[in-house]
Amino acid sequence: MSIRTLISILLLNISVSIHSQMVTVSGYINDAASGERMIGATVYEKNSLAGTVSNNYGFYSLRLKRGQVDLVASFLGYEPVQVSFTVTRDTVIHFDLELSAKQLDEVTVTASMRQSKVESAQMSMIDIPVSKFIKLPVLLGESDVLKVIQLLPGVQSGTEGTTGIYVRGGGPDQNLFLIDGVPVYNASHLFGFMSVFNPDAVKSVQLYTGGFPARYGERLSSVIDIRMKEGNEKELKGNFSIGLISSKLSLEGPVIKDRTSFIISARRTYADILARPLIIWQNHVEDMNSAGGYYFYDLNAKINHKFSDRSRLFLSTYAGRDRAYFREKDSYEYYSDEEPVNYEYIDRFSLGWGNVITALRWNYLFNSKLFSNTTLTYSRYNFDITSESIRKDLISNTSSTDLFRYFSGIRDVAAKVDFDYYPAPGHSVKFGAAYTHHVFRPGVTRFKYDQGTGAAAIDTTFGDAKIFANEFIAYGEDNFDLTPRLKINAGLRLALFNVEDTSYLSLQPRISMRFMVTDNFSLKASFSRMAQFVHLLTTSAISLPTDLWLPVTQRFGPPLSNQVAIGSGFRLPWNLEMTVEAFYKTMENLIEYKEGASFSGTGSGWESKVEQGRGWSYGAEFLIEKTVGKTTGWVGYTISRSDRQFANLNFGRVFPAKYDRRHDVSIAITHKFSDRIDLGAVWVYGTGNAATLGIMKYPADNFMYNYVYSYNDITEYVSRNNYRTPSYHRFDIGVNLHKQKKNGIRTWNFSVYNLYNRRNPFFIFWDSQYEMIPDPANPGSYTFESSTVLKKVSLFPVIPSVSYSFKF
Amino acid sequence: MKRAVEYIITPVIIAIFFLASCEEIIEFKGEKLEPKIVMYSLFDPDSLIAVSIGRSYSVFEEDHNPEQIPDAAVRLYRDGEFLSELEYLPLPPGYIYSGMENLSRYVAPGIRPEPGSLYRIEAGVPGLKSVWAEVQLPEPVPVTDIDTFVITGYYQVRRIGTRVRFNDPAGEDNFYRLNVSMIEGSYTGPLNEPWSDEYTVWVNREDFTGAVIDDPLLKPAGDEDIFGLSDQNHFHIFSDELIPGKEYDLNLRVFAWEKDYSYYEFIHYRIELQSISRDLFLYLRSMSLHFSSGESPFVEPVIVYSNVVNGLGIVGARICSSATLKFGEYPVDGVPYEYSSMWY
Repeated sequence: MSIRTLISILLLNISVSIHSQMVTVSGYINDAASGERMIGATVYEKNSLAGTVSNNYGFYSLRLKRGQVDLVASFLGYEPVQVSFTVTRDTVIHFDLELSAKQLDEVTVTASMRQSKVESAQMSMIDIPVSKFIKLPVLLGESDVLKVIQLLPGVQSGTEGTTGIYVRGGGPDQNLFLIDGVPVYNASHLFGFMSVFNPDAVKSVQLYTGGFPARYGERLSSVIDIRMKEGNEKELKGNFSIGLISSKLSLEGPVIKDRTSFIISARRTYADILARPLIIWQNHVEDMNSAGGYYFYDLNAKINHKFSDRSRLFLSTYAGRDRAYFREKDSYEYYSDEEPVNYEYIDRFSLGWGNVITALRWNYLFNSKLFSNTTLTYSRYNFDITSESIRKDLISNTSSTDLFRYFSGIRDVAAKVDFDYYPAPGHSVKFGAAYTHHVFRPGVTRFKYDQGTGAAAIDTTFGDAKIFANEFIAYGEDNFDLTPRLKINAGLRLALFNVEDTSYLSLQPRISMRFMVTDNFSLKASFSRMAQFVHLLTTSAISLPTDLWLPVTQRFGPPLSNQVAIGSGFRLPWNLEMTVEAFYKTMENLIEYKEGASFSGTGSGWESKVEQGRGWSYGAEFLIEKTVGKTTGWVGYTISRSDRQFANLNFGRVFPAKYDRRHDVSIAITHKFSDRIDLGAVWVYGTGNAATLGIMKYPADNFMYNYVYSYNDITEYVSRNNYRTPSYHRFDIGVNLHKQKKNGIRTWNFSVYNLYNRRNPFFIFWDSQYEMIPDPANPGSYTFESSTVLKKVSLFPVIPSVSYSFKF
Repeated sequence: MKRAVEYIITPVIIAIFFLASCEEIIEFKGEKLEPKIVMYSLFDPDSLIAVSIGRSYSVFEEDHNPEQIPDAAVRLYRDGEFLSELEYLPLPPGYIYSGMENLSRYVAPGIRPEPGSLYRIEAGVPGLKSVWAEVQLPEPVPVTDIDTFVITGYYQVRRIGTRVRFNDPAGEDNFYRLNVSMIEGSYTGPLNEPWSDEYTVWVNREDFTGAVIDDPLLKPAGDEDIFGLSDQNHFHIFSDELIPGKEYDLNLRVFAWEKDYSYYEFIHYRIELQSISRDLFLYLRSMSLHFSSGESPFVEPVIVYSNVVNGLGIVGARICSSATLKFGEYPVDGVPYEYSSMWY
């Protein structure tokens, strides 16, 4: 089909919609119990089979012929609602869906029950049901959105136990995390072992790994779009839970019934509080005065108000912070040359990082076909580390100070407007624009040494420079049925990024197509070009707060990717759906630290520390899903390869990406035995990670003047990521025991992580092994013989955990 | 910071790891490699040109016993012209192990490097692939001023604060190494009795002393990062990245008060600002990081930089500018001196 034909059909489509005798039925789909707007619920007309899906704010709009209509709204796990009426003009119908009395166990499934992957033009997108992921077994009893995402095809996990994700061969900086549409720069708590997304506040999670709609951009490899709950409009509800690491409390309810509601969700770790008595005891025993600890907290809060059916305002915020601290006080009192000396020493150290995100959002319905969302957002991430030693001379009343402080951060203020337009049956358009003002503080380092004697103090600050950047975005995407079997989502994203004297304009075409071969089998294809305007400087295998976001520069332009994917969807017996996708992705302008370079406490001059290169990845993904019934879950398999090439790394030779993994398998199952018991199980398998392993050694020379210090020999690694660690696999199982109490439902969760105690490799290293050999010359005595052996270090053995929660 | 690391971050990570990490021997499934020539040379206008030759060996050679390589062919070229074949210098008789036997020394008698020339060294060892590397002397950067002041630190320890001033040349990338060497003399007789020439003053020399470098350009020398990875800059090297084309005062502290000058004790510091070649800078930095991070699971292993084509090692250059701080007189006529074994 030529482009001219395509455009003609498109114009015809629009033209028909304008001039035909069609009417629009629109409205919101809500949870009847809480009033929460439902994202991705299906609305279809039974006779014409015209249908649509509610948007991120629960709004739907459907163009129908005048006359008798039988309109059905449905959502997974809810009783479908049918409304029959004669429609003669534009009509507003809101649906309130009730949880199925039989919940998920005996629901009759219809093709229109949910937006089936077989039918959707969107590919490489997975909708993760929150109700499911909280039933899966978890490490240390802490449910985590990102750890569930790690189980999906196309997604590789990073270091075991952490929340790092690597999508289709991309790096950790290539994932866009959105909370209610606002980017989160550091999604990690606890050095990456937990994510910042509190599951109690999460309403929906969508993961895009390819075929990106034009409304998304700014990262090369994935979009994780997390929407938070809005708050129960009907009655006050709550939930609290106690786990091994943290405790959580959520409250939601109406401020003005059916008009204004709120939700507030908070959690905090308490290792520092539990350790306090031990520290006090230790201070007492060792005659010390010290204190230290680590904690994180986060808070999600949202309030919304309905002015009318057309207008609704949301104010939401997220604030989270990790903090490690230590302080010690000591004093010395003695006589020196018969003069009294009395000193007090105070040492302080603190390390903290966190995000603050705020969004003010206004939904406005211009008419039944045009929905708008206007948002003002603020996002801030900062990191600081302070070390200070103070010595006070209590006799002369003077003091000296030795201070080191480093801080860095990024701050965004943005405004954007998005429109959803429904011009015709089977035709919807999304378009919008955004402006973001970025302020980067790549790293400010301050050293101060003041001896308190009146002598000049050393007080030096490096890197105290802000970098300002402006980003303009405009996009449009058209989702339409070209023929009854061929559905297309075509879009274009335009991004203009300006930083200091440099501007980059990026045109990013996107297209996804679905062709229904039969009612149960579809073929899909997509292409997407992505650009991102920030670099992440990271040196480590885990997410460190020292990871530094920096804007693109003249020398290091925006990373770009082109990704093509083809796939198909099958509807199988027993309510199973299968999707198969193959992808090929190229990435340009990637950066990595130079060999020998690392985080040095200042972001200035970073360009001299990095190399620019390219990467590519390709693979195939298989997913079989079952989303309804007593037993639900998925089986995923990925075969893929991801390589990098940098002119000045690895001597210019191609090397495997850090998380290149040939095979990845995951099986995640939940089964509901009754209202009181459900069970979750997970099995994962992955090819071993790439590791840089030394194979040779050679003597070092440090060029001192007269003699060589006895350093160990240098290890020669030959090539980056030249070795594969043993494969990774484990089996987790968990059971939830629910009981209806007078005021709510209590749940005990018992989980076992790594049930068969697989010793998965965390890292490998060479070591010496000594063997006792009987000495034939001296019977009864032994000699030692040493040999070099390769060892692996494993982290998590079998780990049981328990948590308690109460929902009221 | 060190204690904070010990008390907070490390326990947090250990707690996360659930005190459960365990080690296990696994089979090595990679290929084994042929050894390579290792070549080192440091071009200094104050020294004769010398080259050290060694060879790499497999990690499985647990009992690797380095041997001298007396039959290497080492050739020196200047600006593309052959200059000299270097001569093997055997280890002195009775040589005691210090690590030097890992490398075989070759010298070019009477030849010192000259500024402005490009030198090339080629080396061949029977059975190994030949190697070569090129080097040029950097421009010297003089110490323009040195300034001292008294600091009283913790526990009333007094030190001499020192500022070493220099001007970084503009319009080019410059690399430096700071070296503070020391000669000290200690009276071997009783200090509560009058000085006597029956007792010697014992003289010791150290290439790098206990001078404390406070300077942020040299941080984190001797310090630790937040994961306890220490000594990331133990060769005291820095670049002009933060001070391009500017005048700068390096800050350091030295001891001076422990000597009793009435007994002819003394302590002399030689503060050397070395302008070093980029290759040498990259080698020292990567080697420093290599030894700091080699076995840490938190950082990517660092491949040590080499400019030796087909081989390993480094051929670098330095040129020194120095200043001296003298506390006490040395040498003094009539005072018997005794020199430590490291004095040669």
